[in-house]
Amino acid sequence: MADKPIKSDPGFVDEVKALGGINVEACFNCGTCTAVCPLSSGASSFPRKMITYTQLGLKDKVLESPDLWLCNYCGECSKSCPREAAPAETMMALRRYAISQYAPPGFSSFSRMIYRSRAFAWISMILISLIPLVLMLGLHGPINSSSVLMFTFFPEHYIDYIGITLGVIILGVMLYGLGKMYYMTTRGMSGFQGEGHSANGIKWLQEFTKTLFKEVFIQKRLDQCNENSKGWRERLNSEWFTHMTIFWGFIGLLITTSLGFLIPSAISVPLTNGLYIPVTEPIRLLGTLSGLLLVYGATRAIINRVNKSEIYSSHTYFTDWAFLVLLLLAGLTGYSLEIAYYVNSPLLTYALLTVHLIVVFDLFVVAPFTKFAHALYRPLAIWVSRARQYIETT
Amino acid sequence: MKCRQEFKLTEGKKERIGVYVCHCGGNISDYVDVKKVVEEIKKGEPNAIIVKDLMFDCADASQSEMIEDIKAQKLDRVVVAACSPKLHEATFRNMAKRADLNPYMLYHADIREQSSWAHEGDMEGATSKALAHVRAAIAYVKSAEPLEKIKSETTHSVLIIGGGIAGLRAAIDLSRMGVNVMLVERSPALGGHVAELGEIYPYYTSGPEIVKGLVDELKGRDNVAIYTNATVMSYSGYLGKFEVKVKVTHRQPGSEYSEITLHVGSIIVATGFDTYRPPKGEYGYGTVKGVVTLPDLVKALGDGSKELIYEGRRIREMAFIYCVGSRQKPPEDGGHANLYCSRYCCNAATSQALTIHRRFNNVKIYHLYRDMRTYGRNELMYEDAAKGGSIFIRFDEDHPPLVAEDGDRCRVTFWSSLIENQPVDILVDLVVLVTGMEPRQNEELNRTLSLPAGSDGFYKEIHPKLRPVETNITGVLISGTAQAPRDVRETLSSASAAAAKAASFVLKNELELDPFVAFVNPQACEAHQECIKECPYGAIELVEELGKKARVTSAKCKGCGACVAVCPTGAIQLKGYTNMEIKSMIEELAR
Ligand SMILES: Cc1cc2nc3c(=O)[nH]c(=O)nc-3n(C[C@H](O)[C@H](O)[C@H](O)COP(=O)(O)OP(=O)(O)OC[C@H]3O[C@@H](n4cnc5c(N)ncnc54)[C@H](O)[C@@H]3O)c2cc1C
Ligand code: SF4
Ligand code: SF4
Repeated sequence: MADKPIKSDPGFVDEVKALGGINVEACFNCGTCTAVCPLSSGASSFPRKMITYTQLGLKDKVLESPDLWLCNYCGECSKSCPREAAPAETMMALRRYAISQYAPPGFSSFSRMIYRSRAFAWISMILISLIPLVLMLGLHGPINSSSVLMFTFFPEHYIDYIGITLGVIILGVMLYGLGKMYYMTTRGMSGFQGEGHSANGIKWLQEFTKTLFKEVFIQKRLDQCNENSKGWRERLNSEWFTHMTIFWGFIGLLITTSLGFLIPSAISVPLTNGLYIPVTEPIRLLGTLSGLLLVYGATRAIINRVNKSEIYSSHTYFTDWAFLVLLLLAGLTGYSLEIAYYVNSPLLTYALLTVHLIVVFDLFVVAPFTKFAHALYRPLAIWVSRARQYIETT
Repeated sequence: MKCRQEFKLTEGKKERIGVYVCHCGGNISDYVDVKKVVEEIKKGEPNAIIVKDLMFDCADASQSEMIEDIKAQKLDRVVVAACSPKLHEATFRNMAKRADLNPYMLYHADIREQSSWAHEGDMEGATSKALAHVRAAIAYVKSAEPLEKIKSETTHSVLIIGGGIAGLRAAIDLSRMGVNVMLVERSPALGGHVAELGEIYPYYTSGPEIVKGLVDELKGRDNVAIYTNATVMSYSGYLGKFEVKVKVTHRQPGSEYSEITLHVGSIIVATGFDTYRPPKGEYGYGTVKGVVTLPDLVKALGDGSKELIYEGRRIREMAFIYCVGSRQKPPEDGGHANLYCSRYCCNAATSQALTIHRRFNNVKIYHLYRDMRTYGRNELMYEDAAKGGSIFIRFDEDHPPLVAEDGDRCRVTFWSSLIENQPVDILVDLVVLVTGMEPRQNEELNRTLSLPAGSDGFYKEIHPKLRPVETNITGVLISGTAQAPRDVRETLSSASAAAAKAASFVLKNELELDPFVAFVNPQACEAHQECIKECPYGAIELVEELGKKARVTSAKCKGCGACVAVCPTGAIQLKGYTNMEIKSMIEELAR
């Protein structure tokens, strides 16, 4: 029990409400939500506690808690809340808050604004899209309309430069966020920072791999929320499967792109020469398959949201949509690009390339502030929470 | 006043007794051998002309059978051995009346609660106990005397002490029923606390408007007399005939005050409550600027201003601290105030919070409570307040919040077990102590009326469920918050209940009272006056004209028997419980 009083921030509740915690004040702390939550446990008890923190204006307590990220937004809590306080919405709102707080200073207020104002979000998307558009309009090479010369139209190394610059910035933002989150969620926990840190090194590593495997690769937790759907058909339709396809599709494309960049001969050389690369070529195959997974997953997720078939999708935010829609667009423009290329339609190919690159650019820029952010923070949170439990029990 | 004071013994005469032993379905006969009781009585009691067992003594057919027996066999005494007399004594006394037998020549012996139910599984024991009870009852009726109810004339007027909403409501109800009402209010104005409140729940009606509505309704009535600046000085008499002296203070110079005498049949005490005043330092009261009580806040809100400003301070954040002066530990455990829940305060505080949310933008309200007791419909206010932006935080009795000064604001530190008792500081501009209700300071009146009070200090009714507005001074009733902490709604219903009860007394020309009162045998009385000292109701006096003998005013006597116990010569006894009757029963039981 800490003895020094923490100062309450009376404006915090309003901030969380603006971020989507629509009815957080209605909560009377009965704990029903925590009791029905399939993921809450004795050691990491939520969502009631997070709501109490919010009501009491204890924002640092929120940022210091990895529990925020353990929620899968299944909506069971909101369904059973006797006061209709929508606890699941508060969990999501607090995440938005945490994302904006973990981000580096300038990005922090940027993200806060996109959450709070739809108009701001749209305008920024348009402005962000203008960057690659202007770059392409300014830097493109000769437009050969008789045959498709994609990298004559837009030299490949430009793509690389822009990609690397953007990648470094975004990676920086992400690492900053992860670092800040690690710092906040582990401060005050002995064994994490300062003394005793290294003594548990091996254990940390073990927990880390376990987390990586269980929570990231096969996403066990998400499956836990669909306990009732055990048949394979149901599984294919489940949220878990949708999520897995998006995740692995994304990873696959990331690998394809990185390999394409690292081993230029594999992909870019033949392309520059306008040569045909067989679909069976391993890296290409990986790219095509990953793209398929991604398009499937994103489509399903969007359909789910449109149908509002799940309670969780009844309150969606611009930033929730943005990531899915951009993913789908990236996939669709990518495939269209390939088709245009093979049917040898030069102008269409150049146009589609432009659109595709804009979409990918946008996707990267907004990634740390959209739904994608959880891909960063959740594994770290799970790991920290595991390690915490381990420390507490030993 | 007609009542019999002489006492005759009916020795030597041959009684004709009927005995009816009840099975009560199986309630009695499962553990009491009813047939055996009947046989034993038949064998041992030659004066028992009729001894029967019946399935249900109280059934209409059984009662008709008894009436026929009484008439045909010329029975002059009856014993009913059945359930508790609390349940059916009146039933059987009425039956006796219908058979032209004096109802007090019937004794109702309890062989269910006392025998079969008390000795389940012990047939033999239960049976012998039941038999003993029936024998004692026979012994009683053998020495019983016919008694008559005491009759007393009544005055068709009621005195109401206290002109708060309870007094006003009772006055209206009585006046409408045609009863003359005299209302005595100590202060210069009517309405009590409610007259000083702003918006009050339910429906956020204004306190002064409620009072105005009640007072307007009284104004036009010619059977109502209202005395303000008036107090009760002394009272005497009994139900139906009280004489009350009232002192009315005048404002005009010259005549300081006048004294009037009122004659009434019943009195309603509606003197209300006091609000708890925290001692200096309790939650910073009187030591930290910005710490006020709920009544202070309600008054401040009454001015209709656009902004919430208290003593020059604009209020942006404020905190209520609940249960101040209520629900405390007993003094031996370190508590200093009242143990009970004051009942109105959770509701009043949430209702004021709602008013603030509605009237002023952006005032953040924290409610530090121990348990929210917004019972019944008031629960909706609790929910509305939360949805309207109030934050409710529970604290533990052992870990109350601390209030301290912080610049020109107040710092409230609290601990909540929901977040592992991590202390939290909130900075607020105003701290409102949600103070409870206390029994009204009323020494003079208490001395005059000597009404009984409960351990909490509020006036006490005879029985909370069976006789909820009566006190053990017959004819003196209590209502409103003089009796217990209550809100307006509950106060008004209890006032109407007291009014109805008072009307039921005074609207009859003659009152009938139970005949079980003390009486004096003048031959034996030696004027020791022990009884006069002992009687808690002042029912006995020494009468010179009778040659210095004690005399009982039957209407005042409650039949408690205190006098009987102290009389050195046995001159004073209780009707229906004479020494002879009691002694014969004891002898029979001890046989
Ligand atoms: C701050 C506050 C807020 C409240 N808010 C609400 C609310 O929102 N809703 C609600 O339902 N209730 C509310 N209440 C409760 C409400 O005030 C009481 O229920 C109500 O006042 C009880 O009325 P009463 O007539 O019993 O007592 P009182 O109002 O106390 O009236 C008693 C009267 O008797 C007089 N009196 C006392 N002694 C004598 C004597 N010896 N001789 C002659 N006269 C005497 C007094 O002068 C007074 O006029 C609130 C109370 C407080 C303190
Ligand atoms: S959010 Fe609802 S279910 Fe959860 S503690 Fe609050 S009131 Fe109870
Ligand atoms: S009504 Fe509420 S504030 Fe008042 S004493 Fe009872 S529990 Fe405490």
